[in-house]
Amino acid sequence: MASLISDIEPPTSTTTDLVRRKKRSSVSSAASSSTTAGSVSSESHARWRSEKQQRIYSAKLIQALQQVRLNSSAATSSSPTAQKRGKAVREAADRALAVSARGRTLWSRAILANRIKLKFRKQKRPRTRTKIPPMTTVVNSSNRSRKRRVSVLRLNKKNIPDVNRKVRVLGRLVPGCGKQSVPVILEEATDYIQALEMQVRAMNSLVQLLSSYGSAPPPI
Amino acid sequence: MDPPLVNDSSFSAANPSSYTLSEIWPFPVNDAVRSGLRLAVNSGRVFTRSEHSGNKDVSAAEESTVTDLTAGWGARKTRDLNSEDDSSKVVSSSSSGNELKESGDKKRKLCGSESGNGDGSMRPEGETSSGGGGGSKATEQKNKPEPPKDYIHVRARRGQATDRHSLAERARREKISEKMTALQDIIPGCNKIIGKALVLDEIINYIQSLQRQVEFLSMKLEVVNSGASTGPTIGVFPSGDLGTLPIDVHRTIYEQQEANETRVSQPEWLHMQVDGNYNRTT
Repeated sequence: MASLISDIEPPTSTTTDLVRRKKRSSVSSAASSSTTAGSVSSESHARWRSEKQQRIYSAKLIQALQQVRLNSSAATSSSPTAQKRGKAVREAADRALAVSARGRTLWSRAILANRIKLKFRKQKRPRTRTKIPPMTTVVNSSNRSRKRRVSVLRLNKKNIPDVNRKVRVLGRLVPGCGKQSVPVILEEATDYIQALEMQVRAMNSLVQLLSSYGSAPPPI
Repeated sequence: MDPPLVNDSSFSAANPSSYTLSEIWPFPVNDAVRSGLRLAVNSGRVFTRSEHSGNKDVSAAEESTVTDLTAGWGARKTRDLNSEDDSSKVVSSSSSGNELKESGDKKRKLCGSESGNGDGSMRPEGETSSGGGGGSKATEQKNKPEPPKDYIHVRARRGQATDRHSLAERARREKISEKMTALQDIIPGCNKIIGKALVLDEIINYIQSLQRQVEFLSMKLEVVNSGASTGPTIGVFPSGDLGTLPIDVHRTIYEQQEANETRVSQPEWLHMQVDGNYNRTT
């Protein structure tokens, strides 16, 4: 076990070398100038690009996927999460990502809070409505309560200047930043982009691993 | 008078108490020249103060006149500067004894303690005292009024407005542009683009494409998960081995990482990723 862990530690490829060098310099700069605003982005850069973080995320993702698999095999056709059967994996992946963020960012808290609110609302509704057939009720409520209320007002009609309008659009893309101020949105977007990149890398490699495992057993 | 220093005689020859402008310079002067001369006088005065530091009563007398001068000077100075004088601006220094810079082109924000920030008072040309440490420096200093103020001290550039609102605006704009450059560094291919709107366009496109990739990969994972249920799924590994599983998985993950890293970091990331994914499915 320890030998396996030590195998992972040294970087092997050139690109990871570059990443590591950049991470080292950015970490040192972050340590020396902890009060400058630029340190926020460099520190988050180091965090989301590190292999350790990716390892953590992959572990969580695997556990979540196992659970999803159990859930989908247990409930047959009309699962309570009827709408979510298609999106179960995606939401599990997002949740795992939010958990890896350790709750320091707005978007991660919004993702997790949304999930909890949804759970509570779903448990409450079928009890209160009894006249309407439960199937449609559940579907409708889960439909409606799933999306957070992002303002769909047309930004084109207002006369706000160009850059501000684009920042608002950006705020709608990042979860949880619908109505924040411009610097907050930019900062959250920085962290969110790095987290998404890490997520894509992890899922890519996971898919490759699993599909290669299916075709040929891995060398042990 | 004790100190046997060189400059002593030259300064004490003149009347030590008559360091007012009218006595030294008997000609009528206008405001700008007066401010310049007060600068010279005060710097001269600092020399004397430092040399006479041992002598108590002289220094006391000097300090009283110093405060008189600086009181008058302070009042005049704010008037001069508020009229957007183009002469070199006052250097602001906090009580931490930062270095003073004379020329006016650098902008520097010095935070005093944050307590005074609540009422939003930002002095245009941060006149803090240099504290006790500044007074005894033998460098060229201007005497400033004593009490340290707890504001964010911002130094204006040459020829730019110095009223409170524009400074606040400028601070806000600088923060935003800092964050924009941080974003530009992250997104590949954004270094060449100039202009906030285009950069924001790129950012929005990048985030959308990342989200689409995640969507796509999650569908693939689902297929892999539930498709061939006998072989290559996650549930294959017995739950007892869950402790060992992540490590094995990660070892192979990082062996495959190198192939993926190059894909993500290339400028045509979108095409490469999509093509790669398609090839893997077929």
